[in-house]
Amino acid sequence: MDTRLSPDDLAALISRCTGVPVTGEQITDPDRTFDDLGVDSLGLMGVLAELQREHGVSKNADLRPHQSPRELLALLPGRA
Amino acid sequence: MSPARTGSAPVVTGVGVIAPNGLGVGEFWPAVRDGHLALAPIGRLEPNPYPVTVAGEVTGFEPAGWVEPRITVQTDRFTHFALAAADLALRDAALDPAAVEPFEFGVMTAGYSGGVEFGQREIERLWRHGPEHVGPYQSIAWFYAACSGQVSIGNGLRGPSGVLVADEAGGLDIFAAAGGELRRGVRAMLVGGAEAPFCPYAMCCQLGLGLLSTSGDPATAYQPFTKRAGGFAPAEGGAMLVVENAGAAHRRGATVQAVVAGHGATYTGRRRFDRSAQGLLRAAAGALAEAGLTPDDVDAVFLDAMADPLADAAEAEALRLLLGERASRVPVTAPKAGYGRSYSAAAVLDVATAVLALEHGLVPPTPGVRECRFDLDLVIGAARPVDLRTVLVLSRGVYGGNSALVLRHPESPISGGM
Repeated sequence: MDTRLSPDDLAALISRCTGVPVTGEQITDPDRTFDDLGVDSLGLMGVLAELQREHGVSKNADLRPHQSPRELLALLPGRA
Repeated sequence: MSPARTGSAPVVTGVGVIAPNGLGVGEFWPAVRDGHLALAPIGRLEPNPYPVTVAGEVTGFEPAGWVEPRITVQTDRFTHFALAAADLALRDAALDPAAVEPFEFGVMTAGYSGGVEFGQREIERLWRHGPEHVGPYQSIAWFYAACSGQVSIGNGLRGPSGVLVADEAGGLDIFAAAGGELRRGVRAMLVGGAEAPFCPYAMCCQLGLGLLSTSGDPATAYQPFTKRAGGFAPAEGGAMLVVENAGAAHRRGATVQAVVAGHGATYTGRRRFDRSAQGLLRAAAGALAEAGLTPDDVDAVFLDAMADPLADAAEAEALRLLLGERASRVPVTAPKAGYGRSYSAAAVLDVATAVLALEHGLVPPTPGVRECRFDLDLVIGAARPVDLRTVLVLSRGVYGGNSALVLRHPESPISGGM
């Protein structure tokens, strides 16, 4: 199980799950929310599920579209 | 018919088609007019373990360029077709949805299969790997209403919207449903449907009908109204039409392509094709009465064309009862023999074809068919030039619905109307 995801890796995963083009830079921008990126709650749910299955994110983790990809990055093991 | 409704019939101002024989009316009409045969072995099922091998497949269609990537991942192929067809219809109608008050523009689609390919993929994940492997878009993508929902959201339409899951004949019933909304004050409706039933699950559903052709030869697989009729070839694809309030269309200077003059629907029971003669007859008579017309006004008929011997005989009988001695002289046709029967979208494609036929004054042929076993004037070979004023479109569902829609040339006087 790969738990080391770079911002670019996370951006690619979000793009694959939601169809929204996202860059690594956007992932680390603290002011950018998922709403800003065009990722809705269903899309975010799919992203979280993938991270929980494959990348060791806690089953209890939750995130909403008004939060930022940076907050998602912080949920990854070894980064908090 | 109430005098208050005179001239109030809805009008078609735009047609968008995604079909096995062409993307957009610019490709679709010449293919239909020339009787092009677009049936072929199903490429999406390779290898194909099923007894049905010949179908009408939409080749050369990729969602990119038609559908936003964000929407592509959350929708099934049938919704990609609907979104593309809606886009084409709006362009054909020269209608910018942003120019219409959002609550005065709605969408109505017919459904039959739903988002089966997407649904099967997610259900496979469920039983292979567990519930946490099912993507959240499964909750919306398989659903019959996905096309209406995505077309509505994508175009900012907030008017009355819905889906009719009413068997194949629902493809005509949606025009009556849309007509009702227009009568209640809505200005415009996108009306249509799409199907993409070529995944294993959907194939198994269809095989259970016992009505599909098992011929392996695309040239003879779908032979309605002939002695060789042995089932229909299934198809994917769909169409969307812009249907507007006649006054609103006139005020914006839209080109009216056809008038939706009347609709009728009956139900005669699952697999009771013997009863569908009466069912189709009453649906057609009802549609003509609503249009303020009589059977003598019918200039051409677009057939349901199930290609089942009993069903074909019942449809021929319905026409004999409806048209009397004219039955052997009124041109009738089944253009879908060239590209297959796409369930709830089949009748919508027939409506699109009928609109184009009215525009061009041509009854397109029944492709691949060389004879007719009934005393009907089945158009075969070349398209027939006819001064078309009134056309009748017939549709039956495999589960017992019978519907009829009457379309008129825009320059015909309107005495009735839905």
